Amino acid sequence: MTKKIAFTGGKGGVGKSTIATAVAFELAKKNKVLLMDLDVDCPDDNLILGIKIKKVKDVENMIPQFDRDKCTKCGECSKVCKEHAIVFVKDKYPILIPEQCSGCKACKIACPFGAISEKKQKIGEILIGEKGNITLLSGEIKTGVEESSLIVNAVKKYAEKKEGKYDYIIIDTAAGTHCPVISALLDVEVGFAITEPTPLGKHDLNLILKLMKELKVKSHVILNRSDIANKEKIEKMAKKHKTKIVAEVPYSKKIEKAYSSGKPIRHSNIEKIAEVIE
Amino acid sequence: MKIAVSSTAKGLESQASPIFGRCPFFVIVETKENEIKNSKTIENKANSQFSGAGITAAELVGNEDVKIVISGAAGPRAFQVFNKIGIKVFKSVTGTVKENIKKYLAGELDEIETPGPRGKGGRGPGRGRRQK
Repeated sequence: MTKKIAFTGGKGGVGKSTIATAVAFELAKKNKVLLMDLDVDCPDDNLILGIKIKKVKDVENMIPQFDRDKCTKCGECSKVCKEHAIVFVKDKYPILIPEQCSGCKACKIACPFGAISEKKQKIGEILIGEKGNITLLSGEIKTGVEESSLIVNAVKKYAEKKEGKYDYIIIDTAAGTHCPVISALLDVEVGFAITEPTPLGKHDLNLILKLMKELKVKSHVILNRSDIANKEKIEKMAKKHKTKIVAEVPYSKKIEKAYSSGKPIRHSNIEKIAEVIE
Repeated sequence: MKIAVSSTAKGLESQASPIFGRCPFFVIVETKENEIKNSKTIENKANSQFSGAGITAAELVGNEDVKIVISGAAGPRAFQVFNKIGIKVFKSVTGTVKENIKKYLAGELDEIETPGPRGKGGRGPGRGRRQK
């Protein structure tokens, strides 16, 4: 049975990609691993793993196209647009701001005159690469596009047919707890919340653990840079959410060196995480 | 001709705001033969909008049939709207709405032809969202 695991954390810069790639690397010693880099605003797992990725598919969404012969300048399309992507000024034709459009098609349904048809716009790319037992699938959003969850969902959909071929699917999410993170965490069995022993780490851990509870994802905590401060606050926070720290990764020169030279980090505790997963 | 000035409060004597999309008010001034004829203040309902405030604010002043906007800057998406509906933007100076109108009428304000950074005035995700 393929296992689907996510690495997330709320806070940015806590080591989500660093640990996700390290665990993928560790698991790949004995298993086939599909790593999905779903931090589509700045995907970079390929750099850490030294995997060359190339585009396999464009991600497109629908944008409305207005037929000026049919449009009566009634403004209904603009009223239903929750993304404020259609501007309506009386006596003028509707104005589309394509970067804002989420492709929901509400405008097309709302138009009483059938003046809106569908046109496609490219909003991102799906990229793929391989090295040994690891297949890396990355999503990358086009600069300026707002809706990153659309890319996340497109990558996940692309992966669906291939999932059965792998022993493990590892998902590396973006920071935060908003739409692209939610989309990335949906249908995941276990999520590892990576954090650090700082007040910021504690605060954002609370948020991500709350989100995982909402999404019914079983959560574990990984404490990165575990020795830079007292970890008690993180232990308490984990306990509050009925979970615990399953691994600690210290702040070490060896790890920093590997990281800054663009290599997956290695540490005995990373092996421990892999064991928890196995 | 109608002119919209982004403003910190209501009325001609209030301070002009350098922010466009997320300023609290717009003072709409009607001029005739280089004189202020009358004015009214509208609330900027885009002010607290999560994203795309500039777009909605541009729509708002567009619906007031404004031809000129006086503000500190406007973002790229607001500019898209201005270009489509034929509104020109002029750079405001520190001072009241009235002072800005007088300077505009005297030809002392510069036209802004390129948009400022997106999401500059705001709380929206345009600001720093792409950082890790």
